Amino acid sequence: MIKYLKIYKLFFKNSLALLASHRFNLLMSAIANIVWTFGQIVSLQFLFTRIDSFEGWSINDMVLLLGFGQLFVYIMFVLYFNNHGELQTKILEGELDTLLLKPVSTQFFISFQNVLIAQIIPLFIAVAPLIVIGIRDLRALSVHDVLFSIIVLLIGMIVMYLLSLSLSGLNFFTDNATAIRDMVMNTTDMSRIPLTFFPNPIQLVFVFFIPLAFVTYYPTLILKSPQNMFLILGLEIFTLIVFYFISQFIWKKGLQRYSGVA
Amino acid sequence: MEAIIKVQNLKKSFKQYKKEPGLKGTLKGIFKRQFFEVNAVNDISFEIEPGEFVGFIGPNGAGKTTTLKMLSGILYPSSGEISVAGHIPQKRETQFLKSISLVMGQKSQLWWDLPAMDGFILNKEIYEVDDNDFKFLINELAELLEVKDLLKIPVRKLSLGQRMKCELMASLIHRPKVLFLDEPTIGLDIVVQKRIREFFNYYNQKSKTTVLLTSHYMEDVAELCKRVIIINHGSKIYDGTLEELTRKYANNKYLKLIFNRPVELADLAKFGEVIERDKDGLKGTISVSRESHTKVASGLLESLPVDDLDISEVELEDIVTKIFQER
Repeated sequence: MIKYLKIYKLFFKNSLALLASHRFNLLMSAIANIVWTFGQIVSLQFLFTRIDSFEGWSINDMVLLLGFGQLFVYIMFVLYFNNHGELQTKILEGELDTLLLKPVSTQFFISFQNVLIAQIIPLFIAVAPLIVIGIRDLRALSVHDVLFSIIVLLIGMIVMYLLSLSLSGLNFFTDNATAIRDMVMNTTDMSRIPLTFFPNPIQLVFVFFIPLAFVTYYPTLILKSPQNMFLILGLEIFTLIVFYFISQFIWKKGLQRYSGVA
Repeated sequence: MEAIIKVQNLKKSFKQYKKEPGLKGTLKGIFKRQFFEVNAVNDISFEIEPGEFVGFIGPNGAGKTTTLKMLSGILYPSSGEISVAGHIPQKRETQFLKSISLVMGQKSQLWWDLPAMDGFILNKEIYEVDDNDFKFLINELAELLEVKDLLKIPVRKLSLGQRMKCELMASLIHRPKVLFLDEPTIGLDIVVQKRIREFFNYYNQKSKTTVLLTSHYMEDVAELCKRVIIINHGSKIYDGTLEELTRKYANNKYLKLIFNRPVELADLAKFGEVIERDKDGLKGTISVSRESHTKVASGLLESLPVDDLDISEVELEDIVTKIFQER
């Protein structure tokens, strides 16, 4: 564990050095993300001048939902999103060789080697105020609810990480499966809409197949009106176990099929 | 002495598909693909003892790199058994990965935008190398490879030769017992090639590291390896010493001549097969049978205006080319 922390520290340090050499490009992308987030809040405020609630959700509930969505997206960007994109290319172009020679977990190395530090800026600037605005008018929150919400969010993020890893790993088995990951990860936009808005089959998709509900809808619901919390956690842990085994299966079988050539 | 690398009936096949040219072929390929198997490595067996420096040669597509990748655990064999430093490579156990290194002339493990030193420090943590050992080794390798002043410059700003030297350093930080070299001198100029060969020679003798080298430059092999394994179309066709190879496949010797006045091609051809002759007729090389070479040499000295005569073995490159042409 200490070895992995030391390695991650070096990944961070190296990424910081990279940020310094490509600072203009990365800062512009961070600014674009901040603008996008505030654009979303303005849109919500405009929408709520015409309606009182959306599926029983007030503007503050919606902002909180948006806040969790942004928190998830930026953490994903900072930690692994681009790395998994590169993983796909590396598998397809046979560029995984040097990584497979390292005496560390290849999944860890490939998933976290580049830290997108520039995205930490919108994470703090845009997300923190969102959550503050979101919870301002909510009922008095208990520490228990907040902790529960955070636990559900964190486990949900691990599930989404495993999903992303699994989808990237599909490239071991085909000529090019990048479109599948792109399509699935693009659904993260849907996480800004309350789950109950969707018909039942779609709700099942967002709980069991693309489990976005665990990173936005459920953490918000726990704060908004806590109910069935252990059922949510149970479902989430079940999903986590399933996704863990799927990702490890894809990875193990995928490495056996890896050809090392383009 | 027990072999450090054992390979038994190793096979590797890849599934590929054919696509007919044009739009019709593309559309057909979407719905129905014609797959076929390519046997990249076909039933290879060999053993290598600790400290040996072995050349692994063959033409493009012979299966050299595929074999090296299976030996280093990157690729899974289709069948057969491999043992490297007492481990089964495809299990990719930590102790195994710490005991080997693979240097690929066409692939880099260093971070392109960062100085090589940052990559070395990362490898130090990955391989859990002791601080003092790391400092000592970096100093030693940097001095040997003459890159001391280059370690703090971003890798992308280094020349190909400088980059390869840094790649070598990154691969040796953990003092591997077995070193796989896949075309380490590819694209480098003659001076750098020579410097790197000297380094490999020194390193192998000093550390007793077992080395398996693939290279298209026969000078690398001739200078570094006592033993060679030759493969073609995935199958082993020779495994033995270089001397034996020369004896077995080169029945001739080369007589390299320098004349003090021009000599006609026809006059030279009377003594043997003319391998090369310069435009002015002042230099030439002829190939003659091993048994008669002394007799031919004295005949040449008597009949032609020879200024200098050198008797040499047939070049390894010519032997290897001959072997591949015959098959």
